[in-house]
This record gives sequence, structure tokens and C-alpha cells, in this order.
Amino acid sequence: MADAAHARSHFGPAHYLAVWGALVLLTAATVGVAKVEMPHWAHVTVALVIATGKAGLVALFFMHLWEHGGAIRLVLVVSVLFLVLLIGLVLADNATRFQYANPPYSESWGEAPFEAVAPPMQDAPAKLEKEAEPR
Amino acid sequence: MSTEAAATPNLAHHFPNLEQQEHAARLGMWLFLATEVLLFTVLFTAYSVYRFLFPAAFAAASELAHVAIGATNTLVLITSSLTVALAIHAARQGRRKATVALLAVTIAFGAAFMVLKGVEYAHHFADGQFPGRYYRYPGLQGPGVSMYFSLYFLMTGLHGLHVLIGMGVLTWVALRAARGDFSPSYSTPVELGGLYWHLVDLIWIFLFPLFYLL
Amino acid sequence: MPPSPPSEAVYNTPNYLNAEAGIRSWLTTRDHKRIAIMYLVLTVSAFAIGGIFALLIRLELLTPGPTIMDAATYNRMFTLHGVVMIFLFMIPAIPGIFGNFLLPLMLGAQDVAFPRINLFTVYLYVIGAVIAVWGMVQGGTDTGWTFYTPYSTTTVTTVAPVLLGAFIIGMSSILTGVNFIVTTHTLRAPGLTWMRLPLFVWAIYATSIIQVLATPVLGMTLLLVAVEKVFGFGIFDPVRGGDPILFQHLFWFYSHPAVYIMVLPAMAVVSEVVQAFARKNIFGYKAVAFSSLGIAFVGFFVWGHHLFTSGQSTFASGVFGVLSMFVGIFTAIKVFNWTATLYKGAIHVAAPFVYFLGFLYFLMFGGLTGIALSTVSLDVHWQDTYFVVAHFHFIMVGATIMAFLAALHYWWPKMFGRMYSERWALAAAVLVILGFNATFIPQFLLGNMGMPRRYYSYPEQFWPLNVASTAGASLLAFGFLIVLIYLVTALVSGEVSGPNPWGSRGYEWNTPSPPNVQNFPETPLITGSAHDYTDEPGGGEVARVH
Repeated sequence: MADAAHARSHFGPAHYLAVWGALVLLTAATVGVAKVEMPHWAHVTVALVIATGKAGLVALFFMHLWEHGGAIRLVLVVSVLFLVLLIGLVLADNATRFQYANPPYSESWGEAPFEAVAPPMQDAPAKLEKEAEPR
Repeated sequence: MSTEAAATPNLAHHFPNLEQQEHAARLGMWLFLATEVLLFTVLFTAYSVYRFLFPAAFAAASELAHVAIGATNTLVLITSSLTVALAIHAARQGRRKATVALLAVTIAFGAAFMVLKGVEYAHHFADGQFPGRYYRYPGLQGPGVSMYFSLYFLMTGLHGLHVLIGMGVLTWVALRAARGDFSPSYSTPVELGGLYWHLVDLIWIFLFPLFYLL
Repeated sequence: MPPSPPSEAVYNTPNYLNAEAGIRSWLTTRDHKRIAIMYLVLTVSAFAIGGIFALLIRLELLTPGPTIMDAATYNRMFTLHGVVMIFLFMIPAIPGIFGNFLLPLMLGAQDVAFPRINLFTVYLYVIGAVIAVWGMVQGGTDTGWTFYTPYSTTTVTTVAPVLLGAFIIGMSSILTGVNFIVTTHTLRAPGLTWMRLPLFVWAIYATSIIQVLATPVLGMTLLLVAVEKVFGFGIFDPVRGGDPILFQHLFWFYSHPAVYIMVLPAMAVVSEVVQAFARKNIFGYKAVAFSSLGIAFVGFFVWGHHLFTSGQSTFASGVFGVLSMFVGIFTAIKVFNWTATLYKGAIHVAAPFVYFLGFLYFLMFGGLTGIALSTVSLDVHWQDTYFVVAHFHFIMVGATIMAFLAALHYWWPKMFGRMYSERWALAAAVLVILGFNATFIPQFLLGNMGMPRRYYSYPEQFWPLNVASTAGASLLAFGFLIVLIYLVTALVSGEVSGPNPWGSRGYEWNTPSPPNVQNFPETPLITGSAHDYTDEPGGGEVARVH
């Protein structure tokens, strides 16, 4: 039983309260910063940095990653890495495509020199067409 | 080993001791949380792609979000994370009543979150701000606008489903705690339930700025 | 020194198979060995069903134009074949059967970390399978197993049940992966350090990582298709600003690592078989162990090679093409090390070894054609032709199923305590390998000549090669049938094998065959690595242990 207690947290209510306070402050900060005039990319960066900071506090202290090391930390780090991987490479594709291969009237289309007449995709044909002659 | 088994009724036959079992349960739970992260990754990817493709539409549409409700909900979830962390702490100290009370408060915060969400959804519906092909808000029309709302309802909807599941899990844990199932040497279910709840909080920490502030 | 004949062997009883009788004892079991047998029955049945669809496809392709079905039915056939083979056999089979049976035995553990969850995965498999197959048959799903948008979101045929079924089976896969990872981390016997782990465990561990990280992405993506089909949210619909290619990115982010979920367990088996039948410790233990992790990791970076002709940017295609070539490095490491293990080994040619040879040949050629396909300029010509079909069948049927058959034969005595007929096994192995070549080599040629895949009719110039392929498929099916017959016969009247008919030094052979309900009367203490044949002539260097 002693070894079970050994794996226990060394944090107390005071620690948790302090983390909570930091989270509340960071929330206020992120709302406040959103009102400041900045280029859009700066808004995105700051918002994500603050969110990551908040997430880090929750993970490290509320979820005890600070104390339980090794394999468990690796699990979280690797999943986040793969999130970045998927988003990064997909965005890299959309960002470098032939401009009209992106959805109609998206950013890369700019001032499209033609009308995008898209078929009514959401309305499927009422029944299957009969097959034409083979070959 | 048989005397230890008799003294620790919660020890499964294939684990040598409680500490090992607890470590395994924790690792298993974290792996499950990783799958939840990857589940939401799909939606975050869609969000990133469409935000990139329709920056003006997304920026305009996010003006229609109710920041006050969103911010309040953020504080609600953060505080519920605090209370569940305190609940685990109480469980480890063997304080049964405190554990149950703190879990109940956490569940209540979850309910408050869902109620606020419902109010928010009702406002959106009243304005005709529906997802996908049902979108009909006259105040903002254009390519990419309905996509914002599709993603908004999908992501907050899936998150809300996880809040409900978390509330269910914590309710079950609270019932077990009230029954006296836990002790200083065995409170693993409380910890695992707490981990799930923290994940729900983590996801919202990212959803909030993405849909309300940017 | 060849293994001693099992003629004086006594059948171990009571064992995990007969200790408790009755359906209820099986349906509520927590014994990983019984769960493995249930997976055996389920996945082999699925393989038979998927194989029937394959034969129907090949029958249709026997002549240009319609032969036994029309185009719409043909589309349903290849959808059924793909979904059943991939989700109901290829992904769950080796981990579900051999991972479940052997992992605790190889680790010196009494069971996996979460036995009840293990049983739950069997139920999830059955429920998901029933929903998916019923959905396809009833609703005539014809999207192919890849469910590409916009067709999958707009077709009149029913797609939602298959998507739901696949989602549920995905959960089974995820939970299996979680179970195996936790088991490997927390239930190793004293003395069993990571560097003494059997290579089977390393590869299953790597597979489990992929299962845990990739499968949720598939689940969510299929859910989005269902949501779009039913509710019209338009995530992939250009009218709503959606991008159909985004579906392909998300789908293949899972489905490419999925092929490593299929092939890594095959490599796990091969590492064990090679050591046992060359009676020599593996050449380059660390290289083989870490290359499993390498495949798992790098396999996540390459999915875009399925999108070369989709409209993906040339920049992204270039990046994915280069990254795809890196995966070949890890497989090559394994191939070189397995081959080097044979050098100066005391080779015992039995069915498992013959299947290993087949595996090696198919993996090499399948893998090399994969590297060729990852070259964008070549893939533009081969994409959506039979060249791709032949490539992945070389790996999936050629390599993976050879390994599956090797595993079945190698561990049949371990699981059931009886030997099969070696004569019939060798004959069937030759039939299977020949039949496989006859089926799929013509398809490489057809693809290179330009015959598209998923077409039920074709121009006359492709006729002879299609006939050859169908003939080969019949031979292959016949070979599988023979295997089924003599293996099942062995259960009833096979020679009793004794605990270790192969004389293998794998850890799992230190238990009775079939094993008792309780794996180990007391926790074993591990003092050396597995497959240590150094005391035999030509036994080879044991990997340095820590």
C-alpha cells in the first residue's frame, strides 16, 4: 500500500487554485487581446499561443503530467505532433494548388474571371440511370 | 501473493500489485484520450483548411458568435476542471463526502455549460444561422459563410456530446464514491473520470478562440 | 539439430479449450487465448466471404463486356470485396488471433492488461461486421471501399450503414491497440527488458501505435461523410465551399498507415518464423526492432501519394513522393536482416518456412513496385489501373497472407496441440504461391498496358491476360481450400504435437501446447533473450542483452 501512495500526487488544493487563477487570467487576456487592432496573422498566433499555454497548464497540473513521466507524456506529445502534421501538410496542399482547384470563390480564386456554375451536388438523381450499351 | 490478493479486493488476478494496475489504467486512459485528440483533429483540419480558403467569410461570421456566452462557458469549464481535480484529491485522502460533493459540483457545471450552449444555439437558430444547406441568415451571405456554421455546429456539437458523456461517467463515479467503493489506496476510477473531463476542457480551450475571437 | 518427432507426445488436458464447456463460457470468457480463437473463426470466415466476392469479380472479368453481372452489380462486388477483406480480415486478423494468443505468453503475463475490454472488441467486431455487410448487401453500396466524395455523399445507394459498421469495427481496432500497448508496458515478467522482447512483440507494439493514432481519423472522416449524406452540411461539397480532395486527405491519413497495420504484424510473424526455422538468432536485433517503429512513424507522412492525380498541388505531390521512398528503407532493413539470419543457419524446410520464402519474394516485388509508384511521373500513368491493384495485392495477399499462413502453421500446434499433415501443407503452399503469381502478374502487365481498375468491361486486347488472371485466382482459391481442409482435419485426427514440435526457442514454447487456462503457475523470471540457439552448431551470435 505504501508503494501505491508513492505514486500519488504531491499537489494540494492551493496548487490547483493557483492554476485555476492562471487559467482565468489567461482567458481574460485572450478575450482582451482579441479587441486590439492587429494584423490577422498576429491575432491567430497570439490566440493559439495563449490557448496552448492554458492547455499546458491543464495537462501538466490538473492531469498530473508534471509528475507522471515517461510513456504518458510521449502519448500526448505524439498525438499533438500528428495533429500538426495533418493540418500542416493539408494546408500546404491547399496553399500551393492551381488556383481554381480550390473550392469556388475561395481566397486563391481572387477575382474569378468566370462564373462558377457548380452542379447541385446535394440533390442526388431520383433513380439510377439505366446502363448504356457495354463498350 | 494470495494474502495481498485477499487484502486488496480491487486487484485483478493478472496484475502483481495495485500500483502496477493503476499505472496500466492510467496509461490506457491516456491512450484513449489520444484517440479523442485525433478524432477532433479531423475537424480542426477541416476548420484550418476552410479558414485558410475563406478568411473574410470566417472573420465576418465569427462576429455573429456570442462572445459573452462563450467566455462564460470557458470559465465554467475551467472551474469544473478545478472541482474535479479537488474531487480526486479528496478521494485520495479517503474523504467520501467531499469527493461526492465535488463531483456533483463538477457535473452541475457541466449541466450549466450545456444550458448556456442551448441558449446560444437557440439564438443562432432564431436568426436563421443553420449549418450547410439550411443556412438562411440574410445579414451575411456569401461563399464560405455556411461552412463556418457547419463547422461551428459540428465541432461544438461533438464537444457537447463529450460533455454529456463526461457527465455520465462522473455520475457513475460519484455513485460508486457514495457507495464507499474508494479508499486512499484505490481511487483509480475517479482519476480516470477526471482525466476524461479535463480533455473535454482542453478541447474547449481551443474551440473558444477559434470560433469566438478570431 | 532438427526438432525431435512428437510421436511420444501426450495431449495436454485440461487446457484452455476444454477446461470449461458450453457457449456461455466462450461468450463471457476473459481468457486471451479463447478470444484469439474466436478471432480466428471470425476473421477466417470473413476471408472466405471476401474471397467469394473476389472470385465473382474474376468471373465477371473472364470476358470483355458483361459475363455474369451488369455494371452496377460489379461496382457492388468490388465494394463488398474491399470492405470485407480490409476491415474484416486484413486489419484484425494477425493482431486479433496471434497478438491476442501470444502476447501474454511471450511476455510472461497471465493475460492482457484489460481482459474485459478484449472481449468487448470481439463483440464490436461482430456488431460492426453485421451492420456493414448487411448495409452493403441491402443497400447496394457501390462507392468502393474508399468512399470518395462527391459520389459517396450523393449516390442513391445506401452508404450510412457501411460507414457506421466501419466506425464500430474501428473502435474494436483501437481498443485492441490500447490493450496491447499497455500490456507491453506494464505486464512484462521480471527480467524481460525491452531489448529482450521477442521481435513479434516489437512489431505488434508498433502496429498498436498506428491503430490508436490513425483509426480515430478514419472514424471521424466516415462520420462526416454520413453527416453530409444525411444532413447536407456540405463539408466536402463545392457548392457550400467544400473541398472533395479534403476527404481524400483525411481518408488516406488513416488508410495509408492502415496498410502498415496489415503488414507489420506479418513482419512480426516472419521475424519469429525465420529464427525458429533457421535455428539462429536474428541478425541485427536492434535494427529489426527499431525498423518496426520506423515504419509505423514514417508511414504517417506519406498519405499524399494516393492523391497524385486528384488535384493536389504539385508541390505537395513532390513532398509526398519523396517521403514515400523513405518508408522503403525500413522494410529493406528488415529484408536484409531476415536474409542474413538465414546465412549459415540450420534451415528446416517445413510449411512455415516455405511461406516465409513466398513472403520474402512477394514483399520484395510488391515493395519495389510501391517505390516505383511513389514516383509522381510514373504514377500518373499507373494511377487507377491494374498496376496499382497488382501492387497492393502483392503486398496484402502475397506478403501478408503468406505470413498469416506461416503463422497459422507455426503456431497451430501451440494453439491446438496437434500437428497438421506436412505433405499436404507443402503441396498447398506451392499451389498458393503459384496461384498467386498466376493471378497477379498478369495484372501488372494489364495495368501497364492501361487497363483501368473497377471497370467491369474492357477492350478485347486485354482479354487473354484477364483469362490468365482468373485461372490463377481459381488455383489460388483451390490452394486455400486445401489448407482449410487439412488444418480442420488436424484438429480432429492430427498427431499430438507435444509442447514444442519445432524445438523453437521462442518464449511462448515454454508453456504446454495447448496452454493451460492459467498461463504460468508462477511468474517466470527471464534471464536471456528469445531464440537463443548459440549452443547449437551455427547458432549465431545472440544479440547483446542488457
